[in-house]
Amino acid sequence: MKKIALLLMVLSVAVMPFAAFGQAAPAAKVAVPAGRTEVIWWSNFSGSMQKSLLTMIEKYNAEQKKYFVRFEFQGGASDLMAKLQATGQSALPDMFSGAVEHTGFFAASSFCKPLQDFIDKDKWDYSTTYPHLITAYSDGEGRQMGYPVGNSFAGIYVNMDMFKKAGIDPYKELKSLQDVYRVAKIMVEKKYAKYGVAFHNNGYYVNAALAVEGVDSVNAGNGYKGRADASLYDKGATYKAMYSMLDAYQKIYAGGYGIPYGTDCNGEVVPKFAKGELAMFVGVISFHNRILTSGGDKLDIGMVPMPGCSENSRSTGLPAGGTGSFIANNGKPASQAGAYDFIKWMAEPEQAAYWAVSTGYLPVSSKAAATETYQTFMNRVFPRAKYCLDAQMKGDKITKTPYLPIANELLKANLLSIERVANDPKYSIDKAIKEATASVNEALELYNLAN
Amino acid sequence: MTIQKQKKIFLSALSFTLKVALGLLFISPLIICVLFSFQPEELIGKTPPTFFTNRPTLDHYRWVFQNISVLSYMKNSLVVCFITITCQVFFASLAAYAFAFFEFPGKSLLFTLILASMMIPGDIVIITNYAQIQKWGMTDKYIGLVLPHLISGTAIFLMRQCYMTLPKDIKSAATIDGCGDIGFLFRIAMPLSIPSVASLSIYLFILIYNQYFWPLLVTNKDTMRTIQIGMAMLVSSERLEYGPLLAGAATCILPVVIIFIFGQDYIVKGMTAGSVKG
Amino acid sequence: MKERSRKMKRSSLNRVTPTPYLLLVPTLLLFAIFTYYPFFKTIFLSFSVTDKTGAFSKWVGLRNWVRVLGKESFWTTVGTTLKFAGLNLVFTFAIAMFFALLCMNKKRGSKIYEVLYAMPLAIASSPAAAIWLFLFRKESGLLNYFLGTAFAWTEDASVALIATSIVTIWMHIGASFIFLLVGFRNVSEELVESAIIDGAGPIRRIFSVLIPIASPQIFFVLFLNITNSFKAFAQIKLLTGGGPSNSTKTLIFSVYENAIINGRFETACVQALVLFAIIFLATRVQFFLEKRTVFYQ
Repeated sequence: MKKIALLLMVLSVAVMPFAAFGQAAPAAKVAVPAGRTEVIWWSNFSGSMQKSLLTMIEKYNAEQKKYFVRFEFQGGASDLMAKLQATGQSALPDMFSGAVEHTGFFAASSFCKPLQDFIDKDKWDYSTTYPHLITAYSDGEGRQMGYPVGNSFAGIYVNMDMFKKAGIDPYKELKSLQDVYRVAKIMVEKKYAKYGVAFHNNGYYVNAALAVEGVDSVNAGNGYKGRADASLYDKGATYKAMYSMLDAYQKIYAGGYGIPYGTDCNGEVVPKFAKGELAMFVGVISFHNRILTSGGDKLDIGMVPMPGCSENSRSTGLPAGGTGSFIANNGKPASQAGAYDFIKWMAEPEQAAYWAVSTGYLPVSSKAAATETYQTFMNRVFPRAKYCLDAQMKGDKITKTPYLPIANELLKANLLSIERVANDPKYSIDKAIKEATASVNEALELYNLAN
Repeated sequence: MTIQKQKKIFLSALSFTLKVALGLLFISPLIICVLFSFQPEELIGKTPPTFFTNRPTLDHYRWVFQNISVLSYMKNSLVVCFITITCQVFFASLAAYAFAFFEFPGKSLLFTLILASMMIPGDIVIITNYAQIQKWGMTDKYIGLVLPHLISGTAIFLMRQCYMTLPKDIKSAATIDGCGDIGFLFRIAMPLSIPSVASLSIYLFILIYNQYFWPLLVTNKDTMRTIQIGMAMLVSSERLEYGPLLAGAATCILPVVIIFIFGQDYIVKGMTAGSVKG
Repeated sequence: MKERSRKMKRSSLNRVTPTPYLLLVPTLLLFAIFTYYPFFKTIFLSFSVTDKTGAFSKWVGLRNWVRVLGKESFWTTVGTTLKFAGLNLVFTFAIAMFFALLCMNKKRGSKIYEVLYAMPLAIASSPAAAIWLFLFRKESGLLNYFLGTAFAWTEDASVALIATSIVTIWMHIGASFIFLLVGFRNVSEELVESAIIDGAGPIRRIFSVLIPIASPQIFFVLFLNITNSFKAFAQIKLLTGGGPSNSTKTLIFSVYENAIINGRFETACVQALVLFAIIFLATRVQFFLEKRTVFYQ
């Protein structure tokens, strides 16, 4: 009896896969129409952003007959990068998504083909793209490596009502992280807010703050003028900036003015901000949509550009953030050409505006920002985005995050330095800086030794 | 019925209930997963939590099945399991037969080599194996998914234990009757080892079905992914809603739990074969 | 009779046929390609520096080992690994032992709760991590609700290791439970009864009869848990990603991080070999102690 039951169970489970032959899966199962070249895109975009991308891809595939773009999700950003590194040339996709701060890493790798190679042959005019984006996605000699898709903007979400009540103008007062500490203290002590500030925990913000401050993270012109082989975290003006930044973090958490560093942003910080309990949230613009859908649409939200580290902050520009598209070096010119065509298409003002509207990223070019699609959206949902767009236009070319062939070690070292001082009010800031410097130096040394 | 007997029955009923209650508490995460996967999203996040909602919904399951090719992943997992189990049983039987019924120079050396392989953790060799599979162009194919796992020390060990319990006289008798070595293997030894094969199969099924890292490396195309990867991608993407996450987890666990419940005896036999002496 | 069979055996010994070797060919081929070759390559790479594609670039000999072993963060990782292993060992064993003692006597319907105690062993780490992620939430998580606490289980460095241990222990109790149960059920009735007749209470019985007879299983279970906790990976990756502040970064996670995320294969190889050495040492100790203290019937 038992044996029969077992047999039946095994059989029914075995029959299940055959049901799979009837199931149509999203996008992935559609066959390439005859006569078209397939273009494969490896990306880490997930959730609602992925949905928007899939809609755009469908539109592109319907609008032209030469190429057929296929989106393949490869997990998180680090999974995707790992995959790219470990894959042999012929198995590479045709294009891939990558974060802008890793441009140097992609340029130095063997799996990325510079976009410039295609631009040279085509003479594509993308001059209305915001200048800081053009710089951030090119190498030290001005050759374009990739093109932005998600134009992320690092800054501080502020609850304007709280600031009005406190009589503080965030756009004037929040110039550095030390200011953030000062204001967070006032907010909490004078009971304007339950929590003074929360941070999106990512090592990117260290380099962003240093860039706004106006100091280099590594030697060799921040990596743009030759091979960087030493971190500058413990030297000169950079050291002073690092110290000021870490000191601000430590004081904020020692005083209890912030939501614990590392708290899940989507699950806990965003709802708290939307409910009006949090005065400031240092994050990127892509959180905006989530704030709105969590009930924050009734709030008056401002977005202040990323602050520097200390009162010596130059604050003359903005570091670029977000994700772009790069072409992969898989030796297949026909499908690479398709990838290039698709990247150009996505950069067209109407398409870029649609993407910005559906995701909350800023548009990548001023032309896209000027479209009716985006203007209507902005005026209705996020009028203060105008400040961000203006700031982008005014940005200078010097404010850049470092250009390095190593990616994750840098971010990890940065993140760890913040975690150390945020979680322990007595942790020596000098020690945290020394640790970070040593990690970055080791990574650079190993890379230079082996390549 | 004497009072003694009544007391005894009461105590054993009590003990039984307590033990079952403890068991249910122990697997409560699984129960919670299933219960909450049927709740509308707004209820899932609320405190105090509602366990039995009066508005159960299949929305999350619908979302999972529409957005994640669950059945396709399941198919891949099951195909991989089937191929791996068949090969492991077959190769292990061959090897075990050699060790159990033959004497040959180098026998103990080879057996030690195989035992030693069991100590090399898979994670050390995984990167090189991935590079190799890539070089041979086997990524995104079933062969790439299964090749490094077509034999394991555990399988050989288990089958050898089984063959060693077969009396040697059977072989001698069969040989006298004119049955060759190979004939003996296929016609007599293998059929006699079916219980061990069953244990091994179920044990291997759980192991292979639950593999995560290797399929992650070897598959790029969505069509080739296994159920664990599909599940993990749900976890690593924006963690906004827990409903689909729980529904996905429940779907993923279901086949294994069913097989476990019904095959528990075999699993126990399979897992304990090596450790119980005598 | 004995003489004759011995002679027969010896004659079949002399008759060296290729058969056993042929039978072993698939096995040895697969092991050679997928177990031994990578193992030796790992050793080789650990003495070199690898380039951005992970291929061999330069031979640096012991310098690589000195660099990796000389970093304070490496020994912190080893410490975390041992802490994690310790937590897992103690609690998995204790709870599995408790369950096994509860189920010692086969009663009617005992199958029901036996299945419940063992079930989590069939749950893979990905869905387990997903479910526990849901339970571990700080604000509206059920664990905090039932315990009345307010820990940020996966985000607070002081509790993150405990959180990952909870998940790992939960997943592994089942296997230990089964092994221990089989060991306990192996104890003959007569032995237990004679102990009762001798006046031994339940505690004495456990320590003087049960544990010695089941000692082979107990030792096996102890070290099964140690090696399992050294290899526990997926739940760490999905729950905490090695953080926060590297508080859950075990050696195996560090291998993954160096090999896959940082692209530093040579560092990963050194760490992988240290991990192998620890596991090897643990199994050697097991065999040694087993010879000394385990009692076989």
